[in-house]
Amino acid sequence: MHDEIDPMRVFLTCTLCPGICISNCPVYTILRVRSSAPHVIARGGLRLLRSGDTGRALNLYLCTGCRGCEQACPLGNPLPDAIRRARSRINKPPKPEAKPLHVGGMGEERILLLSPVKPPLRVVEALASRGYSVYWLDSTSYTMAYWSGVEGFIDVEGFNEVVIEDFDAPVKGAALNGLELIKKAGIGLKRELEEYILHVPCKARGGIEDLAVELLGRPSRVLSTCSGGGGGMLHYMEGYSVEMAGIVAGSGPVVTLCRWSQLAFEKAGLRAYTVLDLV
Amino acid sequence: MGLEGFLEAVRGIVGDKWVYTDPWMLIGYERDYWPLIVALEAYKGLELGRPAAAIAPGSEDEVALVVEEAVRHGVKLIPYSGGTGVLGGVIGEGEWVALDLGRLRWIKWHDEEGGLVDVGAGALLVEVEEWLNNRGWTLRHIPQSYPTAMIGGLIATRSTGQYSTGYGGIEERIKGIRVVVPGYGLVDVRPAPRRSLLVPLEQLFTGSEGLLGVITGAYLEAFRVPECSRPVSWVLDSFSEALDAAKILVQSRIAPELFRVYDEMESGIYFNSTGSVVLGVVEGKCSIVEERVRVMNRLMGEPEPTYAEKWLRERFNVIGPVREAFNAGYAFETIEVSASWGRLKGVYKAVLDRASSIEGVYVVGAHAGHFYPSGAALYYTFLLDLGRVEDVYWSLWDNVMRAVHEKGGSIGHHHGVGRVRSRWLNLEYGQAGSDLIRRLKECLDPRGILRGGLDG
Repeated sequence: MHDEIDPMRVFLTCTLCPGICISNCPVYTILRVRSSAPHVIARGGLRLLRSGDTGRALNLYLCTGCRGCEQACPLGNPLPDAIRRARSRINKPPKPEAKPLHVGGMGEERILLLSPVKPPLRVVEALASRGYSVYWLDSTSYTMAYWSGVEGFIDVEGFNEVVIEDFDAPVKGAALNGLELIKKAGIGLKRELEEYILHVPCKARGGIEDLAVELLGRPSRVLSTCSGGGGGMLHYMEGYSVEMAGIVAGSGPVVTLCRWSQLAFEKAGLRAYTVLDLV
Repeated sequence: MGLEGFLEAVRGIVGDKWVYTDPWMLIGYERDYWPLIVALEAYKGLELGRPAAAIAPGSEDEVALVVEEAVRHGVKLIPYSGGTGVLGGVIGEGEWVALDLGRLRWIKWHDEEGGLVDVGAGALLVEVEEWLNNRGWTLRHIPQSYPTAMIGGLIATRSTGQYSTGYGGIEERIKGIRVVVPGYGLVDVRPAPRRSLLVPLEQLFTGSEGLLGVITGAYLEAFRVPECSRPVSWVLDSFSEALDAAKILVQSRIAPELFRVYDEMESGIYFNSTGSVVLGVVEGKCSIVEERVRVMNRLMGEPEPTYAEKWLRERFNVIGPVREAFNAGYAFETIEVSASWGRLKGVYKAVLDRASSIEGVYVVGAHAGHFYPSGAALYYTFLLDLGRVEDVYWSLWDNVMRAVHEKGGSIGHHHGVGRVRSRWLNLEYGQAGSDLIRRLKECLDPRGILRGGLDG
């Protein structure tokens, strides 16, 4: 977490650069949409902060927040953080206020399911029967206000740690990813997919791929490329997100560790599942 | 006729989603990496003009159809690839449409046995090099823009790279080209190791900066990845002495493939060294590399390997020094020229003298980074007082161009012309030569569709 992010300074630095990070940006390398190149996004951000010109700043939503640019930058310039902060200046239609919804179970341990779609009942039931109290929240963007007191959360992804780091909010209890929880709770997964592509999102933390293979069986190939599902891109730039998902996967079926990617894959016409779908 | 009719026709060719008209989609086409404009935008809040639209065709056929429509509707097109040019060649005047070649990104063998790779104009150089490296080949075309540049732009500006002394500039890698010319459609010049068939068309368009045609792809000749790659560096007493030594190495054909000689000022700034730092990378069969290094050490003296290693680590870090300069209140500019050996030192000194005499300009120094049997290129870096950058910028250029010409040098080595150098083209080619280039442009593009004219 960068404690003192000054978006103006971050954007300014990027605009002085020819864009040496671009081959590390999944959105740009896959879509080749120039507006999505990190140093071009920074120019949009600069205009936004200087003059409130949102008309030239909507490309801030072409970032999935994967931090590839930051890693490639010789200065480690934290562009994704600056983008996230600057987005609040854009007058996009607000999302409805999100509150965690209790969807089942009365156990002591509270589990927050992060997912843009309501989790399947059988998942809730399986967790409830193992002593969990299960809540559902539909967007990571509004979650931090609700973390306090939550024992664990799952978003069926592998990168919860990144989420915590990004938002710098007080989180009580352990962060679990869906696969770890499923293993811990002893919940069985369907293994009927003979051939499948395992999509491990760009921000997934180490070891998650091995766990997925252990629980799901060996995939025909592992796709480690960002699918454009993250960072709000699917919400605000659906067309590009879906285009990207179609390009990276080619053909399905796909089992993804990211619920947002699943939506993008489905909209791209692929058969796509998350781990929770296979419970 | 006109823009609206053009865009309507083009939507039918490339599809709606590849025709950009929203301001946020056009922001990336407003400029390249022209340092003057970068400075004015960042620190003086300059509002740049932008194209009326941008079009991103997905195939060469689509490019040909788009150009045809542009001719029909009288719409000016400016081809755009990586946007790493430093002379503003992509910045238009009046109403123009950016032609984004980024989707022409294929990389495939034309003849694997011959190391001939067929690449699209929109392939990133770094992608091409990695693709080749994975197969045991390399272009060894590594300019400082390596992480960002696209093949089309590199060809259009007749780029060169850090390994040019051993492997040549991009023009030597081009064995065939595909280009869309207004009124002629797609011209496919198939590759050949060499040919003798009137005008070599692949070279006609190399360096033409989008004025004569839209480069859509090329057949490039790759090398086998060398068995050994050995960094070397030395420090000599003076830049003059180092250039003399470099000349001997180059003319006796044992110079490092990557070869750079820094003047005393840059040696002090970049390497904290007195004297003149000379560094390189020697490549080839290991036994031959060892022998060459042994001979070089005999001429150059005790090796100082840390300089080469430091340079290799930091060579693509443009943003670090640039930000440092801006934070200290300076814009920057780089100018590259060349001269034959007998005139090189005279050119070097004349430029330093003239530039130093301009108030608001501070010479960082120079290095020679591209060597030939007949001469070398000199690459100058200047800092410009940010407060009056607009006043001193053109004065700097005018003085440097004239100093180089007066001392018998050539006014441009590998950055091209863009929107900056065209006003001094007469110095290089004479009036007749410049007129001939303008006539060539009029002949191939009589309606001035591609980038308007030589002067933008």
